[in-house]
Amino acid sequence: MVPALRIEGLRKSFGGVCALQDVDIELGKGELLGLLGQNGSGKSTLVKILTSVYAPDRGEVYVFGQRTALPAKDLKKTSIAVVHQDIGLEDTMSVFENVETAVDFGTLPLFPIRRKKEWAKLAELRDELRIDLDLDAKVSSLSPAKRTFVGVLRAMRMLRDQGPNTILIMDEPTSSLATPDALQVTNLLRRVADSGAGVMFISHRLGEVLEVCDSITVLKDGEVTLSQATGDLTQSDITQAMLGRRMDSFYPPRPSNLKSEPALVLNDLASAERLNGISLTVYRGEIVGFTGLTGMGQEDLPALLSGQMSATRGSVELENGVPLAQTPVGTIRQGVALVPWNRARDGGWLDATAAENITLPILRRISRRGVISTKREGDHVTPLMTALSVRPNDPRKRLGDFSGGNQQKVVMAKWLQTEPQVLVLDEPTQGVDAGAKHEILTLIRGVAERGGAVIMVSGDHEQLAHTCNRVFILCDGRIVDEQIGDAMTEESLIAACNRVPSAE
Amino acid sequence: MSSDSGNRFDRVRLGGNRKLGETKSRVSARELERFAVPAVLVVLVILFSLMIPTFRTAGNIQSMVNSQSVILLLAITAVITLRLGSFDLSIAAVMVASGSVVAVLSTSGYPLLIAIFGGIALGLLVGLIQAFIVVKIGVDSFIVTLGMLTALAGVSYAITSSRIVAGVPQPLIDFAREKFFGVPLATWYSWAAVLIAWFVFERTPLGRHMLFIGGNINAARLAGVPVDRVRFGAFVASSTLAALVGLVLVGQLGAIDPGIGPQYVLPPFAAAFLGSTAFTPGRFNALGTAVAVYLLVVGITGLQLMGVESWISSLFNGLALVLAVTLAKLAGKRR
Repeated sequence: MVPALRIEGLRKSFGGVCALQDVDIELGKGELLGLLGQNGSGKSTLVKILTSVYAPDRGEVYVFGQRTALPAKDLKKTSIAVVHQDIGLEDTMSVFENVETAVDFGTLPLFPIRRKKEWAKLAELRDELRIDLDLDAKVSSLSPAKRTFVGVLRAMRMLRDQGPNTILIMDEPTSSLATPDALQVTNLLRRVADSGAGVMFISHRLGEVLEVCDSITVLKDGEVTLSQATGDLTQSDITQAMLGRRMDSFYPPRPSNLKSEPALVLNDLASAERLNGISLTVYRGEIVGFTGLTGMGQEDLPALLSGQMSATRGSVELENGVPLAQTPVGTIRQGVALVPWNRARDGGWLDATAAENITLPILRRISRRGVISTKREGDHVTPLMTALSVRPNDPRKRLGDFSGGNQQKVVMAKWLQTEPQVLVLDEPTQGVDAGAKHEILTLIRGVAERGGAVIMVSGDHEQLAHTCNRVFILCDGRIVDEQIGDAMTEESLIAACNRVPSAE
Repeated sequence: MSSDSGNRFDRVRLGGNRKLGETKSRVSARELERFAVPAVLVVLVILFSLMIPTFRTAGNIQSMVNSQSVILLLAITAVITLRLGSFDLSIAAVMVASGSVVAVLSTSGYPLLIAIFGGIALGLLVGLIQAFIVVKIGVDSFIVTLGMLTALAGVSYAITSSRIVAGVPQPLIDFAREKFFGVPLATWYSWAAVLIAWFVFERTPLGRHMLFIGGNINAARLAGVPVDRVRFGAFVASSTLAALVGLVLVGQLGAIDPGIGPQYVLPPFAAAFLGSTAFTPGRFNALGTAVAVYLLVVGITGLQLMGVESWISSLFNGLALVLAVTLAKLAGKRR
């Protein structure tokens, strides 16, 4: 039988860094294939090649036996549709209207759509896939699972006019869903596959992938490290394939200079978004990690602790019971520094120089009688950049012209110079190469060794397991587990994240 | 702060360092960009001086410079909010409204000082209203100040009963026209405004804060910049300064024409945007703005002296604005 999708020797590199190297994947008709891999393993590059965002350097893609040249000019003709993690729905419109906007109805742009006929067609498709969805419901009124249904329905509707051959790629559709919702979605994917389509399901939740998929493919550093029928594969087989060899010495040792004075006390802290009451104490001198699946609440901590978001319940206290300020200006004055995950949006201004970015919070210190002294600025910034080994060490260079890792070092420099009591890090090494990662983690450790408290929110479990004194695992906005020091491993953290909380 | 010495390095992220020859040519391209507007000004002055005898007379030069004092003052005022990434389009209307208040009060028996306070108070009030709506409520500044621009034009007509109000007190006229080293005070004010704005923008923490708010408001807020306070203050300052420019305008004209506003709306912005491509490309700055004001008047005057009719000034200002933002966009893309 001809497979739905066959990928042969697919290769893609970005400026010398190989994102995909000779990847072969086969997806059969009616097959539900789970695609797994850590961040940066090449999953999203693969999806972007299949959806014609990137052009591959080499390799062939066969769709239902036909060689397909990618990138394609007309996406719909490739028979490949993708539902992204962010589905891209217009909340104020109905389900039907949302699907309609994405479908080419074969009329000229200014001619009316035959609404009745289209509605009936869509309803037929919905019933075929047994999707429980009111086509006239407003999207804003739908549950998270049903929103995903809309995404699937839209994708399937787009492909329908191209004939029966369909390949559906689901890019982490369940990562922000609670378990019961995720189950509804995976059930739907099963039905889509059973209808004869090829479905590629990308997820971080090993459990659900093992549960529902026919076969599993694992990518690591752009190579396929596992590809076989689910059969009796276990979670540990998969994690082994995802992680590969260990490199323990890569990480600086955990801070050892723990103090008994609390630096940060959270009391039943809750946010409007996701956090649902967490209480804990962070002591001076320690690095405390927070992790969980996407959307479990840990993401809100940086905004809460930096005064950008206000708590809906509970409190945050600093040393000696001082309540945390409610604005960034106030928290910074209290010695709380945030290194945000999104450098371009929040970390700094890419069009300003490194020096200008670094000195922004301490302009007073480099001014004399209210006037910025360029000399003082240089005298302050140059040694700082040297100490953090920012390369190239040029304070007058535009921030955007540094590499990602060096940009992050500049952002770190901005806060390290203030000698923070509490340093809050949100994915501090995202998009940072290995060498810079080591340097940044060493700097972070230095803050703790000097008596500061460090909060590290991250989905990089390997890094958390090696650098943190303690890691809290969150699920549905609550702390479900705490792991300590050498007792934790990357696997134990991943397992804790994926464990379904027992019904209480 | 100039950012240019650093631009030698083109995106090291993907490609690594460039070859030496390439690096050098890029530096000169940057320098060319920085000094393009002043260079064009110099070239135009030389060209027109050679071509048109009447252009190079002292009288013409003086009248060109003096005719721009109000525009330059407004352009510097415009840069205050532009630097924050916002617009204050209503400054020309505030200027005329304030001038109307001063002219009407001072010609109907009130002491001049009271009249002046009235004009400034109007500017302060408009500034507070705009700052409140833009900063506290969060409405887009372009729309708010566009509405205010039109509303205040109405206010000016109401205050003056749609008539030209002449006969303002002599001290007010002296305030603008009195000469110092042969140059009218109004022109000195505009030069002083350029210097003060340059100093505040480039040399003080406040100026740096304004720059970052305009560049990346999130990063500024997270670095502890009091974003709302700076923006609020900027809108209040912008309208208040515009009201002060109104005093200069009334003094210069010796009267107020409530319908004079529209011709002052666009040129300050044309100059500010054109000026943002000079010296520190991509950043609104005081010196660039001043050079751009004079570039525009030299171009317009030269063409008029060559026989082109007065419609050229609208055409020139309008095209200069479009050209300036297009150049800025292209320069940004190359970066």
